[in-house]
Amino acid sequence: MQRFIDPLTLARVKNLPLIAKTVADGFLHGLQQSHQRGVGIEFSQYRAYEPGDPLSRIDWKLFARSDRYFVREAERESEIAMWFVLDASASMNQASENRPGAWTKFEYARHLLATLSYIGQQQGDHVGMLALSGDQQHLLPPASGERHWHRLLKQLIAIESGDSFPEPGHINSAIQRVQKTGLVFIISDFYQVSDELNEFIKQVSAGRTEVVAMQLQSTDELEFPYKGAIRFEDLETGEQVLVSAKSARETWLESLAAHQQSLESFLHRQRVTLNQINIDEPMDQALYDFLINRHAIRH
Amino acid sequence: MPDGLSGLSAVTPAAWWALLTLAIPVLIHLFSRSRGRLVRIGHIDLVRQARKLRVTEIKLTQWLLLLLRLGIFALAAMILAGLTTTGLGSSKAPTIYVTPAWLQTSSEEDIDKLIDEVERTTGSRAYLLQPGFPLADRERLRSDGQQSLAGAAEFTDTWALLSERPSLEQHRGTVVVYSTDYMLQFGTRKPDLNYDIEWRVSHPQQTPVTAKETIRALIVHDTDRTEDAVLISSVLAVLKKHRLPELTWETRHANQQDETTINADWLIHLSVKEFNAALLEKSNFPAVILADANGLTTESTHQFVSLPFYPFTTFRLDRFTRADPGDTGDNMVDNEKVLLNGTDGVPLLLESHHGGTRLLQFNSRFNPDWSSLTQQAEFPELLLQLLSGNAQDALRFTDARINTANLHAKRTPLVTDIPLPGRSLQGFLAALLVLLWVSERWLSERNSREKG
Repeated sequence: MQRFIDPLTLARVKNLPLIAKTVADGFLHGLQQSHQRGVGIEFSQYRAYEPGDPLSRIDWKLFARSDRYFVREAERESEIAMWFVLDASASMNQASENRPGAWTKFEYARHLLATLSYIGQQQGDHVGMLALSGDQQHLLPPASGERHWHRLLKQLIAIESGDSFPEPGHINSAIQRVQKTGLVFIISDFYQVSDELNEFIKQVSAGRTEVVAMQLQSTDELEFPYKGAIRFEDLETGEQVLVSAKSARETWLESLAAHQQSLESFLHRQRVTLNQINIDEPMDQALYDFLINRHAIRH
Repeated sequence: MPDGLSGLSAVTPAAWWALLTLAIPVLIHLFSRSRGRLVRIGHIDLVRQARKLRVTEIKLTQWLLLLLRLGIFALAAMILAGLTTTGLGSSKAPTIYVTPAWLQTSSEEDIDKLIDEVERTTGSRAYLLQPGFPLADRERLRSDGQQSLAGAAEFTDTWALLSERPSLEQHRGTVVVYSTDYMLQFGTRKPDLNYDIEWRVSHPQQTPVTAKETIRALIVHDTDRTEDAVLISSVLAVLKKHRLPELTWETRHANQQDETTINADWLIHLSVKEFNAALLEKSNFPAVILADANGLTTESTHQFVSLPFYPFTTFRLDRFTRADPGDTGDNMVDNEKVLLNGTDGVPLLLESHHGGTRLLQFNSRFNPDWSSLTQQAEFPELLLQLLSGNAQDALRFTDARINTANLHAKRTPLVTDIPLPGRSLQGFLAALLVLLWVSERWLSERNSREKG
């Protein structure tokens, strides 16, 4: 039986929250035997009940005493704020050709972000989002709770990819906010027109923030399965190049390897953890691998 | 139509509609993957280096393929249309024809001048004026020029060939003909040509040898037929001069001649003495005996006749009538053939074969009082045809010359709405089609392998 959910199957489901929850639940179920179970969660304080809070979290004894609804708030010993930085540039619209209906990198990133944020939210972390492209900037400050997660999803759905990643100089205020807190996920293909993405990572990773790079790649990109005369078009610049696939394959793979080596070298210097994710493989497997690796690194 | 294509014509012009199929390779080119299947990627730098390597070749290959495919469809249409050519090409260079007789009677210097004339003008060509019109290049002109004129058989019918040529090829430039002035070279009919000819006529002193074997003739006559014998003798003299230089003859009185010891090819018998079949078959008689009426005349019939194998002359004739009209000559009725009848249906000229001898019995006399035949200008020719036995093989007056002023033929306009018989280009086009097809396949396969 297939343990992980095929991305094509998920792609047919158009409900972002459902997908995120399904993937996360399956993923968390798979982690039940891990050391992550219940770690660091303990009672912190009461707060007034807010619509949307689970009824199970209401302290009924306190209600009996005070006739008011209070919710038990628990927090991890080391509470962190998770920032999800989403690269919404046009290059993220790339998808594998031979998998009709498959997600583009951007769609995958959106679902990945929803799932990771759901997991974070479930663990009581504060999650925030910063989606960036040349002509748009979506920022949602970190907060916790399911309502906040839904707000995040609503904003996430509204984002459309396009243009290039903005120059860091144009988004200084956003960078400053991201720099303040703990864990930053940068979900991107890490293709850049000049050096804008590297500059952004430099600035974000300059503080005490831990930065995790989630590099999205497609099978087409990694294997170059094209045949015949191919007119490649750059999604961001629109530049076209006509090549014979056979002769271009070697060039492509060599250039990709060089690019990857350069990226890894740069991220290593910035103490940024790199996670390569193939968007044509199951997302829960990618998450599982990511967290297992992360756990292995920490211990 | 461009000048170079004006000689082309199609047997089935409707097949030109097949040229519409040229749209197929064009459409294939426009909609094929030659423009490249569009693939959107995130980072063009990954293939930028490959562009420098391949794009030019891809485009070149695709254009070559398009051209080859266009060529294939166009050639197929031409083959369907039955393309033919009537021209000698687009060149307006002179076309030179050389008669074999000119070549064989000319000096090396004359031939060198001819070769210079051919080679001086680009596109100029020389052809031998003989059936098939073989191309006369330098080597051929020299080798043929070294041969000597063998005889009348070497004379081709210049007028007939020049008349035939435009039906095979269309002249575009000047037409030059190198010829001798021998009359034998010009046949019997001067045609109207649709092109002008620039004549280069030589006047060779050499007299063609027409007959290698000597022909001996013997005229045997009675005493009262001496004048007739002299007349026939003068006719033979004409033949010797113009047609049969090797002809010799002698005249004998019938009383001096022993029938069993005649040593001649032709015997012209002007005597009352008749031949009987038994004697002819036993004795060593000449190949041909021409005998006229033997003198046993009882009455004559005056009439005008013309010979069926020589219809141009009508002559007066008094026919010798035998005592028994049904008896045409003793017992020689079995293998007799009537060559000429009189107006009343009575045979005038009979032919019969006896052993190796052909006997011609003329029921009149070679005498001006009996017949005006001997007074006709054509009589030497007629006599030659009768004695040689085949009018078609008769040799002509070998040394006769033409007046070069009469060579200029009346020019008739070219009838353009009648398609000239053309040389089919099917074979050439088919070979070209196969070549293009193989090239297209090779290039296409190579392209596919590279793409793969």
